Order: sequence, then structure tokens, then C-alpha cells
Amino acid sequence: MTDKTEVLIKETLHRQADRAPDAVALLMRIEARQARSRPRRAVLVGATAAVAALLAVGAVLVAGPGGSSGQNQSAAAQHHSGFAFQPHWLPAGLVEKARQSRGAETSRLWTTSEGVVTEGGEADWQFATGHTIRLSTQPGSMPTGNNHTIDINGHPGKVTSLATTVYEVTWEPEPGVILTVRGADGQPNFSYTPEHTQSPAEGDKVLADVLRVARSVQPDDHDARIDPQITFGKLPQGWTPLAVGVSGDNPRNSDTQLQVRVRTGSYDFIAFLDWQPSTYRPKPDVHANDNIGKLPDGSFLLVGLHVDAPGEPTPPMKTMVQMASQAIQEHPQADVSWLGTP
Amino acid sequence: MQSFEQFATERAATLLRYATALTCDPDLAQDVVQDTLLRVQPRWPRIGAMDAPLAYVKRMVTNEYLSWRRRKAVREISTGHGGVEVALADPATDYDERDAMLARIAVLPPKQRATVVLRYYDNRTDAEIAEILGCRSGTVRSHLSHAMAALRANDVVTTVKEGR
Repeated sequence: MTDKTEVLIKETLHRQADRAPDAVALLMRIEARQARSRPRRAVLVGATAAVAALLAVGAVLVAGPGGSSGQNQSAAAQHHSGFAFQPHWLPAGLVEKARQSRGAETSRLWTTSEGVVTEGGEADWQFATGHTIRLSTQPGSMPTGNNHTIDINGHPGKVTSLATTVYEVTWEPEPGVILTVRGADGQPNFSYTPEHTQSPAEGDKVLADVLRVARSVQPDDHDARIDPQITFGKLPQGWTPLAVGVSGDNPRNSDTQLQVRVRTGSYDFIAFLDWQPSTYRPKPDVHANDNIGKLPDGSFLLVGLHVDAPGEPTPPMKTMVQMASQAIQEHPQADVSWLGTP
Repeated sequence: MQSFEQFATERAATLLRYATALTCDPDLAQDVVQDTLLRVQPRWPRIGAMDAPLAYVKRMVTNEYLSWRRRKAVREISTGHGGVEVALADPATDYDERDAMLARIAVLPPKQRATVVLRYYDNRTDAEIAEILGCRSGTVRSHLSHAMAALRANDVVTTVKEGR
């Protein structure tokens, strides 16, 4: 049955499609890009490999059991391997619901107690409903230019609006480290209400909160970490750790997800390893699939694949689950006690 | 089998329309389709021999969008003099309810948005969407349910206000 909202969605999407850019311009861009890239192919392959290696090292630093942020590491490196920056002010009522680490990039997410962390895309899989603050850290430098118009504790920053009530502020608190605070206040999944779209008041409040959070951020002496119940163990050949994330309302219902890049022959894809405690109760249709395995301790491992070119050969899911089960290990110093706390 | 150049010439507009609906951003759509076609070309002997190469490439566009990093459909705003330029819709102007719907679609989490576009723009079934996104049909229904709840938020608020 098609209702009014569904009709409106269809009309909206088709009208949006009418705004598509010119196809001829696209074809010219592709031709130009191909012409440019041909002589540089070897260089690009080398650069890609270097970046992949860097990400792998970063991920191991973050996810290794017991932590690997040794005394000899530089301050900047410690920042990248943990959550070395901490906001000292948050809007009232927000609690921490998720932490994520991808190589040298990290993020922490706070939302209201009823907020729900949901799965997003490959890179930023942790979204949340409702009033949300997210602090992200990544290596890099602010681009030069004159558009850094906000001051964050003496450092030039940039404010970006992603939607009427979704704001980001980005700054470089120390050389080589970029921090981003994103704030949102809306209906589920950052959506709008008529009040939001017709009044700047809600957006102003979100922006004020985002700036106040950003200005409260300081290096964290305690170096908050991400120590999930499982972590990478001995990985099969061709597997490269990409990311680790933990989310949940409280320590009793934490959800751990690891991401690995799997290379098979000349093709690679991403596998999501989603660990669930023994209290997890799969839905009936999950049992019918091959993508879930029960581990010896009674916990569960769900495996999903992100294949950017559908149809490329991937191992059978049963094989993937078996390999994934052997690629993970219990984290001896797991700590998810921060879930659900301010 | 047609050549890659023929395919790109004939289908670029279709792919751009789909990607523009998917990304809610024409510039980002162009980048996504461009990167996808650049990856299609070396695989064209195999892709071009498929029964439905367009459907396959659309799946690649979808996955390219879902794995897109860094480049976000954002508009920068300037700050200064204690004020912030907020580009809000003026209620006095002709505010189309489709603008409001697009705003809600644009801020859905990526997989939810992809599910909505595949269902309502590309007319895909649950099973087809599940295959494209690499998930279960139940997950598709969950994505769609959450998305629809968010997209109907406008209706709910309106109803409450009218009931007062």
C-alpha cells in the first residue's frame, strides 16, 4: 500500500535526480583523469601500499591486547593510539555510547540515554539518534586559507553546518592533530522537524553546545582507551586490521565490531566481525544464515562482507566465520565500563 | 558486447541521476560515479559480458557511496562578529514539502538512505536490496522501518499540533 509519505518520498527523489550534473562533463572528467593517471600508475600503487601499511600499524597499536602505547612513544603517537583528548563539558544528560578507532583516527560518541547507536557506512558506522556529540581525532593539518574564522583556545578553527541542526567544528590543537566535534539535536537519525527548519533557535543552541564542547577539550592524562571484549589475534594471510568499535547502552549489552581488509588474489574486500556475548539471542532468520558462528565460550560472531564490486569471488560465509573465529581473541584487559556513563 | 565507452556514454546520465538521488548532492554524485566508472573500466570484459551490466554498476555506485570517506555534502559557513550565518529556509517563501522531505532523507544514516533510494527511486524488492547491500532481508526491513519512522516525523509533529 502506498501512502502519502511514500508518494512524497518518490516525488522528492525523482526531483532530486533531475538535479544530476551533466553527463558529458562527467565523461570529459573521466577521460582527463585517465590521461593523467596512466604515467603515474606505479607511483599510486606504491603510495596506496604505504597508506595501507600505516593504517595497519595504527590499528594494531589501538587494538592490541593490553595496549601498545609504550613509554617510548611520542606524545603525538599516544594521542593517535588512544583517546588522548577529552571534553570537560558536555550538554546535560549525555552519556557515552560508542568508541571507534580506525588506524590513527578515533572517535567517541555521547548521546542521550534513550539515543540509539545505529550502523552507518563503512567509515563512520556509528551514528546515533537524538541529541548527540561526537569527538573525533585524526592526524593531519588544517588546510591553509582564510576561512578559519573561529577561535578554539587560541587555535583557528572552522565551523561547518551539515544540516540545520547538525554542526561540526574542526581545529588543530597541536601540530599534526586535527580534532572535530560534531553536534546534532533532532528527531531520530538527525532528521528535521518543521520547527527546526523554520527557526534558527535549535540550530543556534546546537552550535553553541558544539563550540562549548570544543573549547572544553583538553589532553587527557588518563588516556581513555578502547578495550573491547575481543580483539585481533593471529590473522590469516591477506587479512589486515582496519578498525575496531564498541557501542552500547551499558557494559552489559556492549556490541563489539572489528573490521578487516581481506585480500584474495588480486581483489580485496572488507569483513565486519560483530561479536555478541552469550546472552545474545539471534533472531530466527539469523540462524538460517551461514554468517553467524557460536564460539566455544557461548558468545556469537556475526560476519558481514562489504564488497565494492559485487560478484567478485569471496570465500563462502561458513569459511569466513571459521576464519574469523580463529582470527579474534579475548581481550585480557577488556574494559567497557565507560558505556552509559557521562 | 558493447564497449566500455559505449556503455559509459549511454548510461552516464542514468547513473548520475541515481547517484544524485542517493547522495543528495550533485557534486558528490559526480565524484562517486566517476570513481565507479574508473574502476569499472579495467573489469569491463567481465562486467560487459553480464546479463545486466547497468544493474551491476549501480550496485558498485551504491557501495562506492557507502564507503565514501571524508568528502561530505557540507556547506561551510562563516562566523564573525559574534554571529553565524545560518542558511535556513525562510517560512515566508514558497517552502516546498519536498524540500523538507529531501532534508530529512539527506541526514539519514547512509545504509538507511540507500535502502530508501533503492526502494522508492529504483523500485527494488527487499531481497534485491539485501543483495545489493550485502545484508539480510530482515536488515533491509529494519533499515526501512527506522528510515520511515524518521521520514514520517514531520507528519507526527503536524498531527500533534493540529490535535491541540
